[in-house]
Amino acid sequence: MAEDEGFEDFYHGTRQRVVTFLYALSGDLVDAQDAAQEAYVRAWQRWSTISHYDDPEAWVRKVGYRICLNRWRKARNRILAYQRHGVVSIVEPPGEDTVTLVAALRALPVAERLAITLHHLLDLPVIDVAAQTGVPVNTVKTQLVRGRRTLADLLGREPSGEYEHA
Amino acid sequence: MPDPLFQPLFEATDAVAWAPTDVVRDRARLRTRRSRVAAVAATAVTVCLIVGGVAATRQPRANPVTPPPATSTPPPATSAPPPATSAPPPPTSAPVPAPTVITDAMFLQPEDVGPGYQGAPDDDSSGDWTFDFTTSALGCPPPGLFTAPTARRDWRLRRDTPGSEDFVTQYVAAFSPGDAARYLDEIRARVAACRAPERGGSIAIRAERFAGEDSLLIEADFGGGSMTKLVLVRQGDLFTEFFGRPERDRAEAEALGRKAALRLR
Repeated sequence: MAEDEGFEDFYHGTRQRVVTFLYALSGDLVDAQDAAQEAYVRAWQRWSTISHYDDPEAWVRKVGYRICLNRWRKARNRILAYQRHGVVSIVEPPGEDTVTLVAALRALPVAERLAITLHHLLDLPVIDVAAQTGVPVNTVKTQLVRGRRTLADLLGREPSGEYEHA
Repeated sequence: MPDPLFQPLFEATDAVAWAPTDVVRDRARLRTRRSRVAAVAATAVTVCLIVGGVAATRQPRANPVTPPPATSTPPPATSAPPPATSAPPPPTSAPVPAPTVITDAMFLQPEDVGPGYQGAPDDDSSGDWTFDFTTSALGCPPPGLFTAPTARRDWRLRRDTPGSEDFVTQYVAAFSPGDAARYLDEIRARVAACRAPERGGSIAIRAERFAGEDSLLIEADFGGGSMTKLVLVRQGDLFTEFFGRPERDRAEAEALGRKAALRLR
């Protein structure tokens, strides 16, 4: 049996969700990509353990999120990316909707942004959001209400639903 | 399904260029290997400090105790604390141990590179510039078993230059006797085996034996105008590798390699 059996499928099957989550949180696609890539490297190192978790993706997400929070590292990764590849345009510039949405998300306090992205972007039930963020369910619900209200003010519309999976 | 509000984010990440799984594996293996090397080095330093501490408690000192340098350099023979009187002297015929500690002085110094540079340890380097990483990124055949160092440290010289990157990043590795030469030969073989990298680009040795006891100047072309020069130098059982920006021409890179070799003596 390969030492990393299942890793490739996991990597291919989850990476866009992870990077989108990190993009929503950080507001910077390059940072999000760096953090996600690094998180998968760390996941590979611990794959024999992580692969037995109920939700290995949650582990990668959490590691990526921690990496994103480290601004020093973000700056450094940019330099490393430059060193490795020169100035390369990784993706097309984001569309207007994306820019507006990212700006609106960044206007949210971190805890609300985290709750909103886990629940509305990754479709996690409120109870899972609470478990993954380490806060009570009612607090998550409050964060979602406040976050949605702010997004509605900024975007003219808000995420749909009222705790569909709660 | 994710909320439609977030659909633009998923569309924006559709085109993200991901490293192939092989590169993720190679980076992870590199990190694992380096963590083990760091652990070995840390153990060696701890042993040195403990032994030094025991000796210090046994022997009164005439001079104030100076802290060990940041480099964890073993003290030179002339400044070493005298051994405890009860301890037998070390056998003079004992083989010279492989170096396990890399000092600051073994790295290129600011004056080697140019005015305005400052040097500092690069303890959190991910090694994403090294020969190992470069061959992995190009899709060269994996090395299989390879000779590993007994200690390794990373270092960075940087100069603030508005609007451009201006640095030299370097590591120095210590090997068991004979292994550094073996490692450099393995690198030659790996370059030779990478005539047609899987992911395009190219890698080649452009110069040899221009510095120290042995050396290589390697050029890698990632395509799209992205080139990297790597300088690798061996001096005894010490080995160093560096690269920098802005790109140096071959003569300049070789000259810097000679300075790096002198620092390893």
